[in-house]
Amino acid sequence: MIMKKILLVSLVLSSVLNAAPTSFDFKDPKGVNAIQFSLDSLLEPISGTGSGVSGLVSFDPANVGATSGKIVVTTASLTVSNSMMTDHLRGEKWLNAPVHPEIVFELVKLDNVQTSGTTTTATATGKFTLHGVTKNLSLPLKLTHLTGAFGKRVNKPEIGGDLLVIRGEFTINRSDYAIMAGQMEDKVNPEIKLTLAIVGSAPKA
Amino acid sequence: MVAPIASLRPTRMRTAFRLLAMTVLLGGLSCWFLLGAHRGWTKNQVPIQHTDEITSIQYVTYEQRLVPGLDFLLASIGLAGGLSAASFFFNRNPPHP
Repeated sequence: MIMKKILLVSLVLSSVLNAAPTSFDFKDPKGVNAIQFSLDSLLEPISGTGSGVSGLVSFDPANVGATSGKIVVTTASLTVSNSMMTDHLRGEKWLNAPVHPEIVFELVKLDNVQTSGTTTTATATGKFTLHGVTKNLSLPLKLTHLTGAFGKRVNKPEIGGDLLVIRGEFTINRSDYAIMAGQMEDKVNPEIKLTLAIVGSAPKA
Repeated sequence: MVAPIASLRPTRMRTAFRLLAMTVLLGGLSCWFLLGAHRGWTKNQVPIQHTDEITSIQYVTYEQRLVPGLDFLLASIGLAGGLSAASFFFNRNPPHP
């Protein structure tokens, strides 16, 4: 009788533990993570990357709708192909990196969740903070859960663990975030296209 | 026999400025053309696309390399024009007392 109870309790515990969401760390050990941005300008679109990505996302493949977390990009990591432009971009007139060191997206909820195999598409709603201004933002996301792929990716197959790839694309208006609002719009487009393709790791010891 | 220095200096300066203007113009044009004739902004680090094998994420690394753009070409033309214009401040025949 006691053995049955112990077995039952362990079964319940193990199912609860298995159902618990996994925390994925987006500080990539291979340094691949980056947000890419592009905005039209006088001669050609100005494109660049922000590679200082970090953050944690809690993901449960059995309950994708409950995904939550925060992704942070350091403003000082934003880089374009011209170092003078990079300095201007990070400088006081534009993003003012010393005063606003982080660009943050805090995921509040996922709607319209549709899962097929390892891939889920959803509409993410959250708070986006840029240049010290926080606004609610909804964007389409694609999440890919790669079970057991962590070890293979870091060339250590003996290490278990999963990967979570998040992809998304959205457009913001720089004047909404008080970035040179209404200024130089003939030279630098007010719309900024942001593309996200990042991977989070959840190694298992 | 030997012309006084005062009368030669303006002419030499004039020639020197024009030669310098020509060098800047030809140098800028050659540099722009030989390094890719890029019709966008000047780049001093060039993005290189890679793909992560496991996740298929496309990511960028930068290679330190100069690719002069139209702004570089225009700056060369402007500088050459400025030097050429400055050469006119040196009279060909300075007035003799």
